[in-house]
Amino acid sequence: MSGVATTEFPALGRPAAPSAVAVAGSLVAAAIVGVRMAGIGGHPLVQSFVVIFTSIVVEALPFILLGALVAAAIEVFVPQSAFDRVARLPLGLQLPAAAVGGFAFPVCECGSVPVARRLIAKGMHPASGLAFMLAAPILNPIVLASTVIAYRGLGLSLQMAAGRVVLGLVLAVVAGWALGGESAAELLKSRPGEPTPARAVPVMAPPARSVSFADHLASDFFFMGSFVVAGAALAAALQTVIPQSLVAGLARTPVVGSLALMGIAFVLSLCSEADAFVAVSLTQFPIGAQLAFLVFGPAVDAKLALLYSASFRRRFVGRLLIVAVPVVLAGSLWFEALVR
Amino acid sequence: MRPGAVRASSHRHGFDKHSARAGALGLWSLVFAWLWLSGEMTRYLGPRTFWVAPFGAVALGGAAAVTAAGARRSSDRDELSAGDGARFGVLLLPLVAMLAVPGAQLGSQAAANKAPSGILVGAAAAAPGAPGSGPIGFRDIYYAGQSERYALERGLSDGMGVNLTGFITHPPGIPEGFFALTRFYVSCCAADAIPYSVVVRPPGPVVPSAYPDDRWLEIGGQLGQSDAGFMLFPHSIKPAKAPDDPYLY
Repeated sequence: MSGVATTEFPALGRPAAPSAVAVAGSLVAAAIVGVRMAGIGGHPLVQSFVVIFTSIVVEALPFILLGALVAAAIEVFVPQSAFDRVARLPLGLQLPAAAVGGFAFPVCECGSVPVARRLIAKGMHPASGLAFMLAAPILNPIVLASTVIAYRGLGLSLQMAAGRVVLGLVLAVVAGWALGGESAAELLKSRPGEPTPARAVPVMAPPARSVSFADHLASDFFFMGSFVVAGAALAAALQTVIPQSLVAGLARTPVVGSLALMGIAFVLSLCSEADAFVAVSLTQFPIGAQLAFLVFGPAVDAKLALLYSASFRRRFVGRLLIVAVPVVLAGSLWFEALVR
Repeated sequence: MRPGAVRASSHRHGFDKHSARAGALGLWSLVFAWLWLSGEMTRYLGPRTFWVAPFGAVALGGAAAVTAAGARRSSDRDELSAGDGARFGVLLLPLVAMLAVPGAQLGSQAAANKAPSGILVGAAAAAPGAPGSGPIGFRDIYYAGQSERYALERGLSDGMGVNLTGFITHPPGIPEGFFALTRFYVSCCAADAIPYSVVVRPPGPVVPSAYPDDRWLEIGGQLGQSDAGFMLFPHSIKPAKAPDDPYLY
């Protein structure tokens, strides 16, 4: 479709002139040499920032690619009639089914955004697409296995994994229902060079498919990837500058503890496949607060905030926070009361 | 084509977007291959995600090939817009950071920031149910200080001899003349690194400037119990080179 898309809806903006690219390249080279000669890289703050920033990007990029691959395959190879059939299902069935579908999609949060965006653009109800997007990074088997392993030492592996599944599902369904009430065109932010959902052209000659697949794959990868890089820079800067003890010192009670760990989860922007190992180390926080960390982080964090802003319209991040914070807080308090 | 559409036929002086995409994907594929083959991946990734380096090299290389093939078969030549160029630039920033600050490491600044509380011993993790095996490490010593059962099962007690390599930190609240020997433990990537420290009581008169932050040392000595857990009383302190793999797992 992209071959069609780029013909029908060409990229906006001026073409990048070779001279401008050459100047930009020279400036970058000069900056690298300058930083190395000035010894700025030896400063501990710079070192911490570079290691954390680069590690988040290196870990996330293959998942972005995986998400872009699936999204491109959905766009090009899944017939529109399949989405039409799904779209005809009642929302009461579509929404929880989409959330539970997260079990079958083993990528972290960076990969689920392009897939959900594509599913919504192809006709899945926006509420269901959002439920899938929020559930997949929490419910996938790798994440649940890492949660079990991390909490084995405390003898709470099954409780934490079950708590994560239940609260993750509840958050996905509630947030999907609350934020997915508008049409795809109203929810999705259009991108330069991409047809809007209403204008998408469903029919494509078979020879164009490989070209279209390649174009969608690269387009999604570069679009999502650039926002993940920006988000990783934000998360690394926050991790480098803000001491975790600043928040940890505030948090002994369940309510404040849960809110504080949601704040830490936002700042750290960890991959959902690793966050349980960090959560288990936060022993000064109540167990319910640790669950809040594990459910809130994969749904809203610094790098995702930028990615969501680029993918969805109308202050999506703020509206998601308004839904996610009370749901996760209530769930974590309920879990605390159950387990304690 | 709609009026106003940019077609290559009318602007042949710009870059082809598809070729630029293939080039950027290929560049990232080479970076992942380099991280994998040089062992540099240990600077950024933990053992749970080491697979990301070869996977990234192959998958991004494959995506570059698919994109390049798609560009060859496409009848249109789309020029790289300024917006596309900016996105490419952002995506290449991590490579710029790696080149500008080669061999970057997490050190005492990160240890102070990443410790979830201001307590003396940096990290605060729960003792695992089953003790580890192999030589006694930073995490064992910390767990043993928190759990008598762990200490017993790991065979860790007062007077036990240990040999540790780490970098110097001075956590808040550490007494004058003491320092902490610290290592980061990583699960998936350096962003989730957790610092574990052992307080060291150097022998002889107190000379604070003798043990500056971030200097790597190899220390042999005996463990002794204190209020804050186990402490290390050294019998040998030797300067050490920062290991190629700076993290423990």
